[in-house]
Amino acid sequence: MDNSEDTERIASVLNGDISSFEPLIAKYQPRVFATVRRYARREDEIEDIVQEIFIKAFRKLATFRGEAPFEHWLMRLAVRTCYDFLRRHQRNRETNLSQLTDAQNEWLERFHVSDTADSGDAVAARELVELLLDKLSPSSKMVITLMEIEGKSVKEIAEIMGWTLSLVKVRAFRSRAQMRKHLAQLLKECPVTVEPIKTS
Amino acid sequence: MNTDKLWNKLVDEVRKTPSGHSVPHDFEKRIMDRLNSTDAHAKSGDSSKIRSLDLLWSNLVNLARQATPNDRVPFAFEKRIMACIDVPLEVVDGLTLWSRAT
Repeated sequence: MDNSEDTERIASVLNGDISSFEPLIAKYQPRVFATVRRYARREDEIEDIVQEIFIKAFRKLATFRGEAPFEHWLMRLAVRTCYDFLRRHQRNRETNLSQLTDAQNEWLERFHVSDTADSGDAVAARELVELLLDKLSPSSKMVITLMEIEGKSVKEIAEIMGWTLSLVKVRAFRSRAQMRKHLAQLLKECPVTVEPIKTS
Repeated sequence: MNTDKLWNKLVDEVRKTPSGHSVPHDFEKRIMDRLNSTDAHAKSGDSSKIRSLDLLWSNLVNLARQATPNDRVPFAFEKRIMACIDVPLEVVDGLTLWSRAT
């Protein structure tokens, strides 16, 4: 199903054929699930957020002007819904950096032995990043995830989040400083001895 | 006598003071060297720590990018969403509510 098929389906839905929305869900739900899993951990929460995204998309379908692909419109909606979720659940989240798994501890220890990346440790690294991201405010988590993990530009983030370019830059700067602070705390709390890394 | 000459004269007088109160010849220079080196050491320690954290963070992120999030979808998830959407938005007026109640 390409963009023109998406447009036809959307037109059908808007004309009252609700069943035409189902193929759109089936097509985009893997991408939406992958995106939501960047911001939420519990599977029941993830399913609820994805459901909320598609219901919002259905209700707001008339506002889709077709200037950009439907996927872009849907993903923007998905990211903003995730941001709403983070803000709603901000106070319920408490992560303890001192309780690392063996794999995460091993990753940090390996890093101190050799600072070269090893692809075999990707999952542990990802878990460590998620642990650190959980310590950040919702806006900082959004900026770091979009910029550092998804590789989006400042302009793209501004468009997705509806923020100004300067706001994105300020938030990115502050978020990196916060992240550095939490990383230092993580290293302080975990049993690994930290030595300054030789950069030459 | 200009101010420089006055200052030099004062310093000479201070150096001539009795033993135990004399100022070593290069005292000021030694103090300034010590202060500069301490400051430089502190700054290099901070920047080294920040570099170390930045390097650790960039390695973490580079690896985390490789572990793409799971895009698994629960069985028939689209049906679940369609079930929510399919429910017609019922227009309920006061009369209907009253008739249901009776």
